[in-house]
Amino acid sequence: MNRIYLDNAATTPISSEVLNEMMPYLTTNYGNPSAVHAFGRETKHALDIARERIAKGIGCDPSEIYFTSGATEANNWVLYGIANANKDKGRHIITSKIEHPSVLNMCKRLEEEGFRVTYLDVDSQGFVRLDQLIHHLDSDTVLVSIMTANNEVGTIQNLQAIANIVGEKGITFHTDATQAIGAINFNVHEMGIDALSLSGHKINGPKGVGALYVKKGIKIAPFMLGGEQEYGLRAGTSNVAGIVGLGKAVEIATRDIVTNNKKIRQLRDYFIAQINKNIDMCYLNGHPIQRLSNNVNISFGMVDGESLMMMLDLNGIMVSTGSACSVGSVKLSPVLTAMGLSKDLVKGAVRFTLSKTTTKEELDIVVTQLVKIVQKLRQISPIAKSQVGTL
Amino acid sequence: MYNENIIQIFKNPNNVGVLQGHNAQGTTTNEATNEIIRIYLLVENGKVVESKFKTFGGVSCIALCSTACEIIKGMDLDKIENIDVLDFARVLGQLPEDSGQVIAQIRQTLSIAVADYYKRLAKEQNNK
Repeated sequence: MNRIYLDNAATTPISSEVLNEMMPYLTTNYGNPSAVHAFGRETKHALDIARERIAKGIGCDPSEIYFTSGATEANNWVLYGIANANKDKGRHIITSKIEHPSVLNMCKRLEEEGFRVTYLDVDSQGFVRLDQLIHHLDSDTVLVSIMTANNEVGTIQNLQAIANIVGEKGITFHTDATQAIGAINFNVHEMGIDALSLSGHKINGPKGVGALYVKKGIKIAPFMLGGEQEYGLRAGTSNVAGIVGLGKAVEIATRDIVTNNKKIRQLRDYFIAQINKNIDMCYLNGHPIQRLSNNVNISFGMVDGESLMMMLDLNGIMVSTGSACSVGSVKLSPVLTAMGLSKDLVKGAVRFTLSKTTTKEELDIVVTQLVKIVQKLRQISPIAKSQVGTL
Repeated sequence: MYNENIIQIFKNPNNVGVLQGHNAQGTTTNEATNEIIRIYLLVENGKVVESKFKTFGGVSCIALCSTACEIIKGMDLDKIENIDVLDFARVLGQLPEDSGQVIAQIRQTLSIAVADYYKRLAKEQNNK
């Protein structure tokens, strides 16, 4: 059975270009970049190149890039580090209800430690309520953290407006751009973004590596303690091969952003149109246009999303319900719930995420299977058509 | 996460749909997961002769509902709401993580169906 992979928001394969760059650092160039000998200097040089590539990709100085084990660590660190380093100025943090658990769970930890956290609502399309943001900013606020684009529904926030609102007050603004690198252009200095998290494996780079950009001058406490790596702010022997791969992946993703997005967006819109044409009671979640070019999140009325996902899987088609991090959990998606969807449509949501290698033929096969499976599951469903969207 | 038995039953569940001529039914919604289970029974001489189900639920829900309908066939009506994890494990092997709450919901649904049967029976006798 040929497999069709439509779960690219969960992870992506390493591209050959990236792997080729990484290979020497997995084999012959194994020096510790903290060492002063030739082997160490060679790998240190490789880290410098990766830092330059990432800085170029998002519009900052290489000295503002810190390597991490991934976006989760970057998000954990930026919240913990900025909150703790600036608690003499204030103890209030603002975020939204639709952030990744790596943000929300760190916010809970900070609340336990005496910080005050405001969780902003979103509207029915997943946009953070800017009126609430303006209302809640106060003299005690030290950090605002809003994701660039949501991992489940793909809605791209009005990032510039948020950066302007927060920047006018002189407050630090962080964005989790894990899903957005290679999808939208960043120039963090021009945009007024003070901190940004990104990850390798979402953009055809390796797993287990990410980066945090922190604007020069912003106080941040270290999260990992140990040696003097990453300017003394993130201890631990550098994951050289991973970092080299990350640097190359960011370079490629930002280099090919226009062509990739144009192609993927056309396929996305074709796919949505085909689903709507062939299956009734389908509802696109998130904004129809201001969304990630690879994201299709649809609620199928009367149908349970997990059952639909599993039926697709048994037919060689890989998609997800909610976010990949919530597999095994029976809780309803907090993102779709925050957007105000009825419980039956929250449960009926399935996320398809395309890539630059996705083809029209693959999408046609998926639609054909969807038609059959949705029909089968609707025969099992006790929900009447008139009840869809009301339960 | 799901063993082969669960997957096979999920792919091709038995006892799906509305049971024509049923004389009892129960429906429950799990408020936490929003899974809905409806079970139809045909009861004769105090025993379950046939049962069918409908569900708005995940893999476990479909597989366990299908299995429950098999387990209760031929059982005394008064005993069906006591079916437990072991009854399911004997048929399916290792059960999925969320099976505890699904089985609890199935038992609750059967309990409502049993009550519905006696309610219908009483109504029938009053009409005679």
